[in-house]
Amino acid sequence: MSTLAKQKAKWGYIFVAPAVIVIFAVAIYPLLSTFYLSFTHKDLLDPTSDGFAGLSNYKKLFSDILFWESLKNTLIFVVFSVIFELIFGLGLALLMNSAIKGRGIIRAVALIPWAIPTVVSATMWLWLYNDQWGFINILLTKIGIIDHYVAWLSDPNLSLFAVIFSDVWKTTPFMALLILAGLQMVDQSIYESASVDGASKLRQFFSITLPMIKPTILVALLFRTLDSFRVFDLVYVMTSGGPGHSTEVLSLYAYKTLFKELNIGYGSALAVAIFILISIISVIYVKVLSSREEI
Amino acid sequence: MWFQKIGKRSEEYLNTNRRCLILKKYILLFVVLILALTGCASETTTKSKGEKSKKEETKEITFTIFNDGVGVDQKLVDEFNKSHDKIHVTYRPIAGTELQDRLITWMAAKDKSLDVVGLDVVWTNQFAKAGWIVPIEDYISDDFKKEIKDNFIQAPVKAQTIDKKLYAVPWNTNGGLIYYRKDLLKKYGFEPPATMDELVQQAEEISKKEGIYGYVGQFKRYEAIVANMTEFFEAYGGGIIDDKGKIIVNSKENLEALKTVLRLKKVMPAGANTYVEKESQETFLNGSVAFLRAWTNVWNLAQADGSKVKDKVGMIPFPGDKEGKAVSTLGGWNLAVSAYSENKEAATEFIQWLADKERQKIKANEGGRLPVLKSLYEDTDVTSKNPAFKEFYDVLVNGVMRPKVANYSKVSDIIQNEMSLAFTGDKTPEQALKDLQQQLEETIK
Repeated sequence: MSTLAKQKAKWGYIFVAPAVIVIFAVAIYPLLSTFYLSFTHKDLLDPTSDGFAGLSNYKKLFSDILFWESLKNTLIFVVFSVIFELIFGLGLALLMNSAIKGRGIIRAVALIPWAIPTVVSATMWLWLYNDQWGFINILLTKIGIIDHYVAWLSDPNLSLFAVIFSDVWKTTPFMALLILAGLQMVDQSIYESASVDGASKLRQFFSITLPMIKPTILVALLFRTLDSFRVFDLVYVMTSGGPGHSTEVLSLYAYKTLFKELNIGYGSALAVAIFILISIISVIYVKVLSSREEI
Repeated sequence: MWFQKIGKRSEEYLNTNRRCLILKKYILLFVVLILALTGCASETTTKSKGEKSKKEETKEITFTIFNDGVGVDQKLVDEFNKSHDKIHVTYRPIAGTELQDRLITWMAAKDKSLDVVGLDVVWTNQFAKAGWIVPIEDYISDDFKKEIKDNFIQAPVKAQTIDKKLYAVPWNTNGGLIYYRKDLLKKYGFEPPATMDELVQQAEEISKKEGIYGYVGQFKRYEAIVANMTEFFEAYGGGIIDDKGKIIVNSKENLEALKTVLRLKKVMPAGANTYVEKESQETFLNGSVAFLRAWTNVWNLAQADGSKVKDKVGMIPFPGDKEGKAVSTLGGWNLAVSAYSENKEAATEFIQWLADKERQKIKANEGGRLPVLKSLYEDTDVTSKNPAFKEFYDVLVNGVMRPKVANYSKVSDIIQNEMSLAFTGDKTPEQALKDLQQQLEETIK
């Protein structure tokens, strides 16, 4: 390396130093600290409980019914919310991308749900679902789909899906926005030549649009999967995990263990479990993504 | 590109200024390091230095409590600062829903900036057992100790007493009670219910004939379901933990109580298991229900303009299984001193000042909070402003405490879960009580 290059490299280190320090302080250090704590018995309510726990927190995790229950709920939440967000998001993106009248307005309006803070929209949905004055009940009885008001969040079989529905409403615009970006990168001339060759609109969609935006969709799916895996505020506000634990999700369970019960050791083990599960999901997605690009 | 241009320019700069550059580089590095490492610390060091020089004259303390929303606490703090030149209090209001989490984080970090803290009635045990607050009994004056013993309502005092020591000074109190529709009871020739059985019958009959709901409480899976269920258990002579710390959940009294709740559920709105305070009181204020279990604050809401039940509301203590018996879950706020405070004496002085008669009166008149000082319930200044307070008094003397255990949050979560399952019908009452007993035994030990 020439002296100049060395000089430049040094300056490079200096300039990235603040960012590295910040990342270390707010991301890496807490992560390592959580790993460490998950191997201890630390319990804030018991000042004497500081001993090394070995793997006992993780053993407990495997026999903890509530952990498996909340993992199941989380997975149901992730699968259904991401699938519906993808379907609706794709539709919305196609609509926003097409050259119809009022496209600007559609784009602006479509983004509103996403722009509302989750806690606010969760409270809003809580009232929409209300069994006495909720708009959903009023609407559905008016158009004759149900004949009496339903307590959507009261029924353990319905409540999780009611929460999923609110999440789909809220994050579909985000999915649509990402897919729209992908759609706009598709070269218009491909469509022109396809229609010259006599391909129908449907054929164009499946043979051109979908393959072209596949990488974008995968990235959007990755974002949403990881995001919905950590769902917290929506459930916290709407049901606090109830009725029973029909809507208990992993982050809510970890939060309760850590900050309500103050059982730092076991709570950290839960947090580490979430971290590992998320890492597995990311690795799978990244594998799929990179194999796509090679082709 | 712009950055390429900058790159080129800086290269030129590097070449021409080689010599002084090395010096400059080290200066810059030094500055960056100083900023990064001591940026936040520098503020605190200068501050504490300033404090030290002032220490002889003025003690700085903080007062951390939930934001009362009406500014009464701020006013009290200002008044204290004006009248005391030896102590200066900084008021630190925190949103009610956040306060517990914030206090726990600070306490766990042994934060010295906490002095006086406001605690909800159910937190004190947890904070005391964790060693985060000092027994206030060891700090307050003998006169004040006597005042608490002789003139305070004893239920809240008992609630703040852990292992025979008083840890926090009750400041104001609250209790669950039953609101009823005077007009509807009159219409069907009922007297206000004296027992729980009467209440159930009246609720059922009014609901059937009037086409409205009979009863509403707070049965969502969160803290208030514990308060609601505790009242029912106590009403039937059952309970969760007895005075000796034994778990007494699986009893025939509790089973009867739980069955009564399920019977009442038939005249509750379908979504009753999702209701918190807000939904339940809206149902009542809309005139859609005959009986409401709520805290004391609903009285003023019912009398306010816009309420559909204005002047049609009466209120009774939560009835028991026999006439003359009444229960109520205790709520309310208490003042404690942090174990990490460096000015415990000053903090105690401030607490004594806040909890004296004059200040409790201001809190009652301007903040609508129920005082813990008995004499204020006879004080015409207070009763003329809040006529209902007199009636609350009987409720408050009967206050029962939610389980007093160190890991209350865990215990509460287990109770919430099992009771929510029983209420929703996922478990039979027998099974829920059996499971609850077993889980609590495992948790408390």
